[in-house]
Amino acid sequence: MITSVELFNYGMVAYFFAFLFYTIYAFSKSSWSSKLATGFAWLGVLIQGVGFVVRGMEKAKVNMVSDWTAFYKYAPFTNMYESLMLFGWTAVLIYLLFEWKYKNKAFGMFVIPLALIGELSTQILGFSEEAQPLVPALQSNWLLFHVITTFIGYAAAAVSAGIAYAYFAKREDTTPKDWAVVFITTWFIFFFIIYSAYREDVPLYLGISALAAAVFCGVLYLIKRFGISKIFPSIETMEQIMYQSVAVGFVFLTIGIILGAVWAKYAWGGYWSWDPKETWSLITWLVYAAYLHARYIKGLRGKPLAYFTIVGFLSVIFTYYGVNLIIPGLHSYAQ
Amino acid sequence: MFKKIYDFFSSVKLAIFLLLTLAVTSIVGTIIEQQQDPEKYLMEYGPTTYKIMKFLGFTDVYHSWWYITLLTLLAINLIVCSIKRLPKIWKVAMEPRKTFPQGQEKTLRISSSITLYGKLEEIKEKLLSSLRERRYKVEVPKEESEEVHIFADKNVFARFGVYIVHLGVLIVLIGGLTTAIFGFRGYMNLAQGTSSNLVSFFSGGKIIELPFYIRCNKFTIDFYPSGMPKAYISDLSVIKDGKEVLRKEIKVNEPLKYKGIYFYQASYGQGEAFLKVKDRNGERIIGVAFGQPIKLAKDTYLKIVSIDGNTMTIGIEFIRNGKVEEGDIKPFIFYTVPGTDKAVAMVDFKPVFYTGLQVAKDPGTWIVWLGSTVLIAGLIVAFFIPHRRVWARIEKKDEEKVRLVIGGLSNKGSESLAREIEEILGVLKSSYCKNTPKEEEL
Repeated sequence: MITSVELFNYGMVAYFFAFLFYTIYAFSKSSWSSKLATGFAWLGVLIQGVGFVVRGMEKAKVNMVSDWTAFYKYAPFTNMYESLMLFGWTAVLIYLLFEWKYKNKAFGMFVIPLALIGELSTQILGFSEEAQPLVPALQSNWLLFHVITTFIGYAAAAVSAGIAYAYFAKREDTTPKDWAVVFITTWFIFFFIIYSAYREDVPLYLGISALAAAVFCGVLYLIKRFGISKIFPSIETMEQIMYQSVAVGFVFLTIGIILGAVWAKYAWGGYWSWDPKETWSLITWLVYAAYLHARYIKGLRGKPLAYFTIVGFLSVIFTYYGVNLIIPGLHSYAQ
Repeated sequence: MFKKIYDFFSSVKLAIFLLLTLAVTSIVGTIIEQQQDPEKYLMEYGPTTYKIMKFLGFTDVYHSWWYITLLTLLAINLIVCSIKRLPKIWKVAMEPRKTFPQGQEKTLRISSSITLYGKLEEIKEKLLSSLRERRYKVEVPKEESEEVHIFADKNVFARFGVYIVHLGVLIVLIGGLTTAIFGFRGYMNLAQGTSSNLVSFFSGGKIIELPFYIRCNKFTIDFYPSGMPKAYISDLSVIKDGKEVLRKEIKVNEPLKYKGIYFYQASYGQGEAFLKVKDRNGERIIGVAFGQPIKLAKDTYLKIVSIDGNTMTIGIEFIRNGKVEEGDIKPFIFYTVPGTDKAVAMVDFKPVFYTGLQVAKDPGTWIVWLGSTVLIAGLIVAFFIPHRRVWARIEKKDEEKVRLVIGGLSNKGSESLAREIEEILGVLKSSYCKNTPKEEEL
C-alpha cells in the first residue's frame, strides 16, 4: 500500500511543475501554460489531500485502532512534519481559491514555491516523517477541527504577507527603508523556521537566515528592477487581496481559538489557561483586530497597510514556531 | 465634561490603541512565568527585580489591576462606539431613498442603461420576478404610467455584522468575569480505594469542601508497545450521604461531571501514607495520597507533601484558616495538632500510584460558548455576506419601447453585484431586444 510520505512527495513534485508553468505563464502569457499550472497545482492539492487521509489511517494504526474510519480522530497534525505539510497544502489551496475568485495567476509563481519550501524544509531540517502515536491529551475529537481552522487562518495570513512583500516590488516608491523592513522581517521569519529544527548554535542560524532573507530581498528587487512586477495586479487590487486574506485569516483564527478553548475545557479543565500558546494566539488576534479597525477608519492604505499585514504575520510565525520552542507550556507536545 | 468623556470613548482610535496595548502587554506574561511561588522568582531574578515585578503585576499579568483596567476600558469603548454608530447605520440600513430620480445613477458605483422593446408593465413584472428569484425584497416606490421606479434590497442584516461581533466579544468578556468571580479550579489526589471531599487550590492554602465525596476505585495507565503512555484511566465514584450516586471511568479529554463540577484526569503520582489519628473518641487509621489534605477540625487541615526515604520522616503542610505552616513528623511519633484535641502519627507508607484530578466549577463557560457562537456568526455576516441594493427606473418611450436605467450598491464585493446586474439585464435582453441592442455605459 502506498504510504502518506510518498503521496506528500508526489504532491510536492506536482507543485514543482505548477511552479514551473506559473513562471512560464508569467512571461509568455500562453494559455496552455496557464492551464497546466493551475492543473498541476490542483493535482498536488488532491494528491496531498489523499495523503492526509492515508496518514490518518496510518496514525490510527500506530495508535492501535484498526477501524480505518477513525482516521479523522487521529488527524495527522501533531508533529512538525505533519503540520508543515498541512501548512503548505492549505496555502496552495487558499491561493487557488483566490486565483479562481480574482482570475489572476500572477502570484502562483510566488505562493507555490513558498508552500513547496515550507514542505521541503521538513526534509532539509530533518523533522521526523514517522507517524507517531498520540499522547493522551491529543486524543480528542476536537483535534481535527481545531487544527484545520487554525491552519487555514495561518495559511491565509501567509498569503497576505506574501502579497505584502510582492507589493513592495510593485510600488514605484519603495525606499531603502522599506527594503530594510522587508529584510529584517524575513530574517526573523527564516530564523524561527530554521531555529525550530535545531535549537542550538544561534549565531550560525542567525547567519544562515540572514543569507536566506538577503536572497529573498534580492529576488524581490530583481522583480522590481526588471519590471516583472508588471504582471502583478494593480496596486489597489493587491491591497484588496491583502485585506481580504487577512479578513479570512481573522475569521478562521477566531474559530480556531474558540475550538481550542472548547477542547481545553475537556482536556485541561478550563477554556482558558493563559498558556503561552493561547496567549500568543490572543496577541495575534488583537493585532489583526486592530488592523481591521485601522482599515475601517480609512487610515490604513498603501505602505502602512503592507507593514501592518507583515506585523500580523510575524505574530502568527511566533505563535506557530516561537512559542513551541522558546517558551514551555501546555502546548509543548507540538514537537 | 460628559460630552468629552463620551467622545473619548466613542473613538475607534482608542479601540486600536487598546487592542495594540493589550497585545504588547500580553507578551510580558509569556516571557515571565506566571503565578509561581515567591521563592522561585527570588532565586531567578533576585530580590530587587522581584519587588519591581511584583509591584508592576508582572508575576500575574492577566489578573493585574492594569490589565483588567485595559480590558474594562476596551469593553466601555466597544459599548460606547456601538451606541454612537448604531443610529447612523440603522438609518442607512432601514431608511434608504427608494425612488430613483433622473441623474441619481451617477452617484452609484455600478449602473447601466438599455433600451428595450416591450410594454412597460410587462418589463416591470419581468424585472421584479428576476430580482425576487435572486432573493431580493422588492418594492415599487413610484408607479406612474410614464415612469416606474423599483427598489430592491438583499441581506440588510449584514450591515449589523460588526455589532453582532461586538456583542459576542462583550458576552465572552462577561463570561470571563463570571468565571473569575464564581468559578474555581483546584485539585484532588486520590489513592486507590480512598475518598475525599477536599479540593485544594493550586497555590496558597485555600481548601474547598464539596457536599459529596469522590472515591477512586481504580487507577490504571495503558502504554503503547514503545513504552509511551496511551491512556490514564481513573474509575471514580461519587458518594453522597454514604451512597454511591454515580460511577464513571474518566480519561484525559473525558471528564466526570456532577452537579456542575467537573473532575478531570490531570496527573498522577506515587505515594500513599497511612496516618493514625487519635482523639477523645479513640483511634483510626486513614490512607491518604500525597498532596491531598485531611480535615482535623473546622478550617484545620493536614497535607503530606514529601517523604524522606531513609528516615521515613514526612514533610507536612499544616493549614489553619487558610494559612500554611510547614513541618516534619517522624514515623510513629504523635504530633499534637495545635488548637485541637487530635494527634497524628504516620504508621505506614506505600509507594502506590494515586490519580491527580483537576476539579473545576465554572458557571462562566456557557456564557463564553454563547458569546463565541454570536462572535463567529457576526464575523461571517460581517465579512462574507454582502448587503446589496438595486435601483431601477423604467421610462416609457412609446407603447412598445422603454428605457431601463439600473444601478446598484454593495457594502462589499462590487464585482459580484455588477455580475448579478449583468445577469438580470441578460434575462431582459433575451426577451425584449430587437437585433442588436443599443447599450450605453454611464
